[in-house]
Amino acid sequence: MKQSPEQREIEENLGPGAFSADGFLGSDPRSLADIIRDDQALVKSLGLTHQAIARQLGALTRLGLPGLGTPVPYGDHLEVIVMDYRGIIPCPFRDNVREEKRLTVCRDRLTGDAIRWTDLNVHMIAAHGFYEGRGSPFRVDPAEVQAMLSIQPDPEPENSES
Amino acid sequence: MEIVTTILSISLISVALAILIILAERLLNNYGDCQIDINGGARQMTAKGGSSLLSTLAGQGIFVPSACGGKATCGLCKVQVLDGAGPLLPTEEPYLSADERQKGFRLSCQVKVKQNIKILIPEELFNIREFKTRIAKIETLTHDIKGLRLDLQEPDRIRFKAGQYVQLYTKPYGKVRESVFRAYSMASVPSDDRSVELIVRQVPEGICTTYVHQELKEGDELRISGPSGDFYLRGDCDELVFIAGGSGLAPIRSLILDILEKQLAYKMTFFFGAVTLRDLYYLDFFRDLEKQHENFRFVPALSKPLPDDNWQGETGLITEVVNRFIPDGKNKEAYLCGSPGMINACLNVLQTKGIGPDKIFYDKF
Repeated sequence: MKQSPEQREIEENLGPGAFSADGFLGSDPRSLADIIRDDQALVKSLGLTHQAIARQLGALTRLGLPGLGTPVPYGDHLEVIVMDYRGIIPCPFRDNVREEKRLTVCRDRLTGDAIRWTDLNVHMIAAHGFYEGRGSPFRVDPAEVQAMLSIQPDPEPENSES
Repeated sequence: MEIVTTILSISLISVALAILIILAERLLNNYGDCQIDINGGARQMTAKGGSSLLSTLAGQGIFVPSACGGKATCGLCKVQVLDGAGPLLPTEEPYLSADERQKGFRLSCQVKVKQNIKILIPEELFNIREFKTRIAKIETLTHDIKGLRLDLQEPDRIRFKAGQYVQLYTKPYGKVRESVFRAYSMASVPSDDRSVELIVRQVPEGICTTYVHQELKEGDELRISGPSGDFYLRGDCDELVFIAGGSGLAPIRSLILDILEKQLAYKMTFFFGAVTLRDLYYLDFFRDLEKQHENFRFVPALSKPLPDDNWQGETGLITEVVNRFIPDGKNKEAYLCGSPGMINACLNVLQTKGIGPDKIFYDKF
């Protein structure tokens, strides 16, 4: 399918070397539209919405922020560590949103399992349903998120973004 | 036959359209030479139109400070445009106050030079130079922080105020096809004017920090420009409070060394916060300074030392440690450098101690 100039620019922004060293698409051979569509289906199959996932990730980042890099306990056996860096990164989707360069790690103290996300991940999930491509250093896998955080579905279904 | 004719016709039309688009692009996007009038005719230059005002000025040897490399994410490259800028872009709006918009301030990285343009810029920007340097030393300071010592080649001397920063230009590498530049504070003392020392923390996936950490080697050439920035000593006080985390130590080190070298009589306390011992560096350096200078106190602090760290120093979040050590804000100025989270947390503590916003200084990048 032919891409519009806007879509082409977004894909360029998501590629390596534009906004981050390795980009946001990883080694994923799928098109951006396919990546978003497949993740939308996965999120739906988990009984969740992009907003519910983004809301939970954002809440955990806010929980961990006062720790200034020190682990902050969450629930019985999870802990949240927030590391922030100097600088701002714009959203590659050309929506004029800019996020601080902040990384949140949520770790299970019992198993050692960990998931991680950036403030930009949270925005891209909520606003664009984009979790990054497979093999991307900062892909947020909805199934892994749900396995660790057991996010409660929204009480009422939200409109689909796809 | 009819099918072949149709295919040929469509192909010919497509080629004709493509040629037309290329010609139109060349004609319409060719802005020719544009006059740039700076500070009411104090300087005038001619440059080829079509590029951003930021890069056009850089091409003429005028380096407007920018920390993000022209991506409209730092808001540092503001200049006052009196004429010829075109309409304000949505990308600029978050960085410009109503007053600034009214006065014609714009982000120079977002203004495209398409016609003659008149601008006002601070005189000190004319002092910013581009330097060719050679990397004399790369030192691993922590697991994610490296120190660089750059010997200046051309020009071979730099004049700067302790606390200011330079911009470091990368070359294309790996999957990164374009040169980018980012701002880094100088850690060296201004009297050491033939070299510049930088401290760079690896930002995960960061284009410039990955270049520094993974691509650069001792002996490589590196391009920088500077000095820039208004994070320097004001000194309208008796006592100075310095707070740093991570690579934020860089400008604080420069400030402290400069003050000690000039034998200024300020009483100084430097709080250096980290999580575990592996995140701290220059401990011996500052402890030695503390031994040599009665007016300097060094307070490193760990928020969560590991048992193996055998840490005997202060513990707790840096905000808690500052709260314990600083009784009040009387006759004090505070200088902060570190992550935004650390700076925000420290601002709150310092203000509860009575150090007003006009006495607290930090870089906004």
